[in-house]
Amino acid sequence: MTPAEYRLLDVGAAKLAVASPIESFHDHLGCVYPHHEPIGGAPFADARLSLLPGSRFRLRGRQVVLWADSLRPFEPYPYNCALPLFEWGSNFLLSRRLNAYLLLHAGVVARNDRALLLPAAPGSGKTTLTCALHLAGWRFLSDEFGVVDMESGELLPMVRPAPLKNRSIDVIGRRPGAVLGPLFPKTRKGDVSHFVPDRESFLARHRRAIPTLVIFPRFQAGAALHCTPVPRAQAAMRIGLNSFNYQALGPLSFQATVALARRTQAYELVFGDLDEAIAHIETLFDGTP
Amino acid sequence: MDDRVRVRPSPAVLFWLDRYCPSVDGHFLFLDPISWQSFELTEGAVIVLREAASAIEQERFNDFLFEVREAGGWPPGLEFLVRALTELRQTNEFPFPE
Repeated sequence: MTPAEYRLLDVGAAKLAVASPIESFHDHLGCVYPHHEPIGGAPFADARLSLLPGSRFRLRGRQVVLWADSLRPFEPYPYNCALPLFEWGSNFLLSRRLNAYLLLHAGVVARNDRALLLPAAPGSGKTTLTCALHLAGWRFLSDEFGVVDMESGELLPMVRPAPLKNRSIDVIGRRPGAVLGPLFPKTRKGDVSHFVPDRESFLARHRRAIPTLVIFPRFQAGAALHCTPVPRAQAAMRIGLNSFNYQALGPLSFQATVALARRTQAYELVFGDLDEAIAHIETLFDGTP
Repeated sequence: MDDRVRVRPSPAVLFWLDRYCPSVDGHFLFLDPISWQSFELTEGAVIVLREAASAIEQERFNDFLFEVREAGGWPPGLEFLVRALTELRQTNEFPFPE
């Protein structure tokens, strides 16, 4: 395969195709998608992107541009940041396109195909907690998308690298078993390095899980662990608020979130210590029918 | 100002409430049929919505508006949702998911 050919990534609930002549991008992509085998032909992809180099004569450094459907939906990034641009850009495109599913902004991990959902706003520690739970033995379904089949209520995996930022890179990186991709310093979101989910999670990327427990996490430096039950009606509202396409789907998403709230138990968890949070979540999960 | 609203009877309004205003452990959720935003409602608010829906279906919505005014006005935020329900009045089909 030449670098300019589309490279297909089957991440579970979606397929991505990306083409780029930038060799370092392909090296980085190989680091964070190490389990993907090349797929030949021209199969369907939910999002098809190209990452193309900008002008080499730009005074303030060369850039990389993301193209999708003949449009440039984002500002260019520095040339050596093609991977973060691909990850953020393709997540954005998927959040607009996968309207066959209710898409929650949530981390998802599972044990014995029973899923824990972690819906949260950016900056709440969702990605860090998702990665830490995965390293503690949970199956990784996603750090970004809770993909809900609105008919069955099941969760579909979207196994992609999780972008750790700033202090989280070290917090997760020094845990046993953690595999991280290259470090991208001083991006628009700070320092970024992508956490790589394990091979077992990758191989299970088409195996659905049953939602069992919902935790709304909120990291607060130095805070003592504080966990409070969330009434189901309030949980349904909060799940809807943490969705990419709730309002677009209207009655379908309303019924799906009500069903999700009815079949799960929900808690709000404020934490300052990752291991303490994991231990508490495991106790809650084991006690959930 | 004359705020009288012409409405025709339709079974869609109560149908909407039955389907999209469920009780979840004693709390009520409501899906606005126009904006598709969700709201958490008290039992009292749901009673008002149901009375409004019945009034719409029985072609006496203007009388209902008068009764609300006589009773001291709308509870906060509720008029907006009731007005959204009146938009279902011309819906004679049920394109809503089972």
